[in-house]
Amino acid sequence: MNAGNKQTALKTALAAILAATLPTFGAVDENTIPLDVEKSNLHFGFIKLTDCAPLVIAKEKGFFAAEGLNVKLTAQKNWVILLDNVIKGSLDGAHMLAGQPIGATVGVSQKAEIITAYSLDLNGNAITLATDVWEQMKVNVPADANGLPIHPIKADALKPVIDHWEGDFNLGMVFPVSTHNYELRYWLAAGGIHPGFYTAADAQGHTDGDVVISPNAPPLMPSYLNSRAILGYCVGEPWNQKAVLAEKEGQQLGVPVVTNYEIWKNNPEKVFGVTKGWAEKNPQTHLAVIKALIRAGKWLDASIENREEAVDILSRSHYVGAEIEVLRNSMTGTFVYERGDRREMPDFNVFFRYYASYPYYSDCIWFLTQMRRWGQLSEDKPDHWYIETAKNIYRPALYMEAAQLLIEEDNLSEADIPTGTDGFRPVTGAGDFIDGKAYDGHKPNEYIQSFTIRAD
Amino acid sequence: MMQKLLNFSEKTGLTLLIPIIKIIMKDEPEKQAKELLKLILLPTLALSIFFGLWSLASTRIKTSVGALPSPSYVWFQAKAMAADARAERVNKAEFAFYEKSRAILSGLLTERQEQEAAGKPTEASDAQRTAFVGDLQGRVDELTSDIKILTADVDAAHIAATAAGITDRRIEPYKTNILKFYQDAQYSLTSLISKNTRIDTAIINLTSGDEKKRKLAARKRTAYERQLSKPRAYSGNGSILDYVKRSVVTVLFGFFLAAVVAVPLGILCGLSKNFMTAVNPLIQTLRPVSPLAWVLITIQIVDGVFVGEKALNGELINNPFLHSAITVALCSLWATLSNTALGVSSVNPDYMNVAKVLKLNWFDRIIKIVIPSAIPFIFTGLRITLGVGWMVLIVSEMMATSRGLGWYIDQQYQNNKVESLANIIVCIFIIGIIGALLDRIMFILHKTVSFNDDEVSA
Amino acid sequence: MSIVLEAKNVTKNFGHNGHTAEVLDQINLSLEQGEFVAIVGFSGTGKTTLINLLAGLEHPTSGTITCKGKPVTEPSPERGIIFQNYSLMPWLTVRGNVSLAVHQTRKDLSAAERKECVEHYIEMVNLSASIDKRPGELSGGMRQRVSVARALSMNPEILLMDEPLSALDALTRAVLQDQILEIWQKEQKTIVLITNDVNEGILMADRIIPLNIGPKATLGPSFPVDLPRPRNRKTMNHDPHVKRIRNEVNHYLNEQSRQHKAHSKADAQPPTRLPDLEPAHMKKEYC
Repeated sequence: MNAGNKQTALKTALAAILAATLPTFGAVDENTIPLDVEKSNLHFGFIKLTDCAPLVIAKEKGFFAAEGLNVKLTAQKNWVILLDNVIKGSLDGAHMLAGQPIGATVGVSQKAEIITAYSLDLNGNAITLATDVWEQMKVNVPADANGLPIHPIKADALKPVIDHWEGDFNLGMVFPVSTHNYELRYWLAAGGIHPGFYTAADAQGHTDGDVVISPNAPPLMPSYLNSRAILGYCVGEPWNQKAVLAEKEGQQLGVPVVTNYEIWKNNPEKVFGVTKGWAEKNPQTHLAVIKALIRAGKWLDASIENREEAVDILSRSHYVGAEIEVLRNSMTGTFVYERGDRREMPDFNVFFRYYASYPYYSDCIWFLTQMRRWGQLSEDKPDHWYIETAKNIYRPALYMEAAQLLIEEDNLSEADIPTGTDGFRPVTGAGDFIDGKAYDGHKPNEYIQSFTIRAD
Repeated sequence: MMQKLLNFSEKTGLTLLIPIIKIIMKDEPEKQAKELLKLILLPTLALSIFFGLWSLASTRIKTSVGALPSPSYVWFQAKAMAADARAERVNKAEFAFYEKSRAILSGLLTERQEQEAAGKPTEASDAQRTAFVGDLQGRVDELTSDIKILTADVDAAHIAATAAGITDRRIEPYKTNILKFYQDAQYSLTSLISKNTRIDTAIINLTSGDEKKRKLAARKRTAYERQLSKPRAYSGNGSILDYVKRSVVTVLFGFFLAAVVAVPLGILCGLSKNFMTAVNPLIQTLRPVSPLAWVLITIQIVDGVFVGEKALNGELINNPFLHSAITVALCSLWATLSNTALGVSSVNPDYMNVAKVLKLNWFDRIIKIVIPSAIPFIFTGLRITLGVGWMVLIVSEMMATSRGLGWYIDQQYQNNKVESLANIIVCIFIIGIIGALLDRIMFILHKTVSFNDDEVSA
Repeated sequence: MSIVLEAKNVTKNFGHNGHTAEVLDQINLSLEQGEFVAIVGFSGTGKTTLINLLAGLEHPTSGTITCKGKPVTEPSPERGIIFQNYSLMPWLTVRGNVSLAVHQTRKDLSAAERKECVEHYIEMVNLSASIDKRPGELSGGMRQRVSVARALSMNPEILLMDEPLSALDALTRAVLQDQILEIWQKEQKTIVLITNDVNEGILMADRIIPLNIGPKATLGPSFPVDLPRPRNRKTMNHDPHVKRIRNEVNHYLNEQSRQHKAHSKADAQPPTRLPDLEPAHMKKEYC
C-alpha cells in the first residue's frame, strides 16, 4: 500500500468515527411503530463475509432496536455448524447461503425445513486463481489497447492450462449447496471444463470431472491457496481481495479472474433463513426482523458514505474482522483483479437496488435447477414441483407485509419494492449469463435441458 | 515468620523467593546472592535469546496474512486486548444502567395505566416520571460531554499516528472503544427519553383530534409501552477476560467430571482384578482417542439429550459449554483412572495386615486404608488430568464453538490479518501462563496430601 | 500356668505346581501365660512366616495353631502384632494411628473413654509431645513406639513382635528394649519376640528358641534364660552364666549353619533364601 492510500484510509476511518458521533439519535426509530414481538432477545449467526452486512447494520445502526429487538450476533465456524445451530434452535436465525434453505428442505444437505423472506444481497463473489495459473492462462486472454485483459474472462482460457496440468487440479468452493459451488461449476462448464458430477455413490461431486472441487471454510481459502492445497477458489468477499493484497514470493497470492456478476448479472447470493417452526411460533418477531433488515439493506445502498461506514463497522474483530482496505476494495464500488488493475464495479455488492432483498421464487428455482444439473437431485421433476418447492421455501408475501408496514411508517417508499410482481424475475437477457443462456423461472426443465454438460 | 515463608516457598516451588528470604534471614548471604543472581540471570538470558530469535523471525517470515508479528507488536496487541476488556466493563455498566432505567420507566407507565383504569388522578406519577426522565437527560448530557472529549482525544491520536506513519495497528483502542460504547449508551437513553415523550404526545392525542388520529395515538402508545416493558439481555461481544473466565470454568468443570468418573472407577479397577480385566480393553482403546474425535461425538450426544426446550441456553452453562467440558473430561480422565487403580492395587500389604488384625470390615478397609493410601497416586493422576484437560480444552472449544479462549483464537484466525495473528500469540501466552498456574496449584495440593516428599516432582 | 498359644506339627509351604517353597516344617511351640519367648534365627529362615502364622495372617499347610484352646483361623486383636517396618498409616497422625486400633477394638468404650485410652497408650510410650505428628515427621524409634502403643491399645493377651528393633540404632534400641520390658511386666502380656540378635533374646526373654535354617525350617531346642530381672545390660556382658547361654545358643546356630552349608554343597544348591513372592511394588518404602 502506498502513502496516499494510507492517508485516505485514515481519513475515512476518521470520517466514520465523526459520522457516528453526530447526533443522529431519534431518527432511526422516530416513525417506527414496534410490533408485538413474541421474542425480543434474539441470537443470529453469521459467517465472516461482507454480505452479512444487513444483519450487522440492522444491529449497529439501531434498526433492530427500533423494532424492539435486542439482537446478539455471533460469527459461526462454518456453514454446517451455522445451519445446525439454527436447526437445533440455539440460533434464532442466520445469514445463509441461498442454497442452504433449499438444500435443507429438499434434503440435499442437512434435512430441515428452513424458509426465507429476505435476500441479503446480489453478487459479491469471485473466482480467484493462483498467480502462476493466471500467468499461464493469461496468454489465452484477449487484451485491450492498454494491454489489460478484457473482461469477462471465460474458462476457455483456463482449459488449455488444465489439459496440460500434471496431477489433480484442486479448486475450493464454500459448501456443496452454496452459490459458489454452482457459479464455479457454471463458469468452468461454460468454458468446456467438466467440473464433475454428484452421484448416489459420489457425494463429493468429483465424478467425470476435469478438476477436483472441494468445500473449504471461506476465511481459510487464502491460506490454502498459499499452501497450494488448492489452485483456485470461488468465494465471497473479502477473501478474493485478500489474495490480491497478500503476498507470495513478491507477487500477489492470487488473481481474481472473474466475478459472479460477470457469470450471472445480479445473481442472488445469501439469504436470511429461519426454521419453519420458528417462523410459525414467532410470526410478529419474524416480521419485525424483516422490517429491520429491509431498512438496513436500504441504508447500505443509500450512499457511498454509508458503505464507508459499513466497512468500518464490518472490520471490527467480532464481525468480519478483515482489514479496512480489504473490505473497502469490494464494498465501495470497485474491484481489483490484479494490482494496478482496479476497475469500477458499482454493482459488485448489491444489498437493495434492483429489488435485491426481495425473495424471488425464480431465484430459488435457479438453485434447484443447478442441484439437478450437477446431480445433487438425482431425479427429474416436473416444472410444478420446482415452483411448489420454491413457494414453500421463499416467502415474498412476508417481505411485502413488512414492506407495507414500513411504507405506512414512512420508512420506505413504494418505488423500493417490486409492486405487482408474480414473484418471478423477467427472463434473463442475452448478456446476463456468461454463456448467454436465457433463464425463465417458470420453465426450469427447459432450462436444464439447454445445457450440454449435465447429469442424467 | 521468615521460616514459615521459607517453608511455603519450598512447598510451592517458588524457588526464586528462597534465596531472597535466606538473605533477609542472613543465612549465608553471599552464597544466596550468587544463587539469586543465577536464578535471575539464566532465565533472563534464555528469554532474551528467545525474543531475539522471535524478532529476527518476524522480519524474515512472511505469512499469507503479512509479516509474522514481532514481540513489540504482540505486546501492543496485548495492551489493546486489555483495553478492550476494560472497555467491555464500561459497556456492561452502561447496559445495566439502561436496563434499570427502562424497568423504572416501564413501571411508572404501568402505574399510570392502572391509575387511569381506576379513574384516579395521574398528576403525581406523571411528575415522578418527568423527574426521572430529567435524571436520564442528565446522564445523556454527561455522556455527550464525555463523548466530545473522547472524540477530540481520538482524533488527536489519529493525527499524531498519521504524522508518525503508523497505520497498521489500532490507535487508542481503549478510548475508541469507550467512545463507541458511550455513543451506544447515549443513543439508547435518548431513544428511551424520546419514547417517553412520544407516549406523552400519544396520551394527549388520545382525547383530541379526529378518530383516525386518536386510533393511531392509541396504537402507538400500546406499541411503545409494550416495547419498553420487555427486558433486554446483554448482547455485547465479551472480552478476553470473559473468554479466559469461561475457559477456566470449563476446564475445572471438565476436570471435576473426570475426577467424579475416574476415581470411583479407578478404585473399582484397583480393588477387583476381574473388573480390571473386564474394562481394561475398553480403557486401552478409548484412552488414545483424540479430542477432535471426541468432541464431534460429544456434540451429537449432548445435543441429542439437551434438545429443543431442554436445550441449555445460559450465558455460561449452555450446550457448547457441555460439549467442551465433557470432551475435556473424556480426554483427561485416563491418567486419574490408571493412577487410582495403581494406587489402590498397590496398597502396602502391611497396611492390609494391620487392617486384618484390627478386623476391619470390607467397607472400612476401603475407606480407612485403601483410599487414603492411594491418595498420593490419585493426586498424581489428577495433576496430569488437569494438565491434559487444559491442553485439550482449547481445541475442543474451537470445535464446539464454546466462547472461551479456543473459540476466540479460531475467530481471530478467521479474521485473517496480522493483528489477529498477534492476538493469537497473546492468547498462547495466556494459555501457557494459566496452564502453568493450574499445574502449580495441583503441585501444591499433591504435596500437601502426599506422605513422602520425594514422590512429588515439580 | 496355662498354655495360651500353641503350634502343633505346623508346616508351611508357599506356591504350588512344582514351584513349592517349603518354608516351615513340623513346628511345635507352646507359650505359657505371661511368658516372654524369643525366637532367634538367621534372616531368611521364615521368622516372619512363623509370626504371620501365629497371628492368623497366614494359614498352615498342615498342623494346627490354637490360641487358648481355640483354633486360629484369622487375625484377632487378642494377638497384637508389632511389625518390623512399623506399618503405620502415613496419612494418620500418631493419635490417628492409635485411634484406628482403639475405635475398632474397644467398641464398648464411650468416645471420651476412647480418647483417654488413646492418650494413655501414647503416654505410655512417651510420645505425648508428638501426638499430632505424622509418621513422616518421626524418627524410626519413635515410629516403632507408635507401633507398640497401637499394638498395646488393642489390649491383646499376646504380643507378637517381628524384629521390632532390628532397624534401629543401638541407643534407640536399648531404650525401646527397656520400655517393652517395662510394659511387659506392668501389663502382664505374653510375648513372642522374633530377633536375629541373641543378646537381645538373652536380655529380654524367658527362653530362647533358635529357628533352624530353611528350607523346611524347624525349631531348635528351647534354651531357658534363667536370669533374675531386671537384667542389667552392662553387667550382663561379663556374667559367666550369660556367657554360657550365649555360647550355647551361638554354638547351636553355628552348627546349624555349617551343616546347612555342607548339605547345600553336597546337593550343589545355591544358598537358600525365601523365594521372592512379593510383587515389586510392595517393596516400596512408605514410612
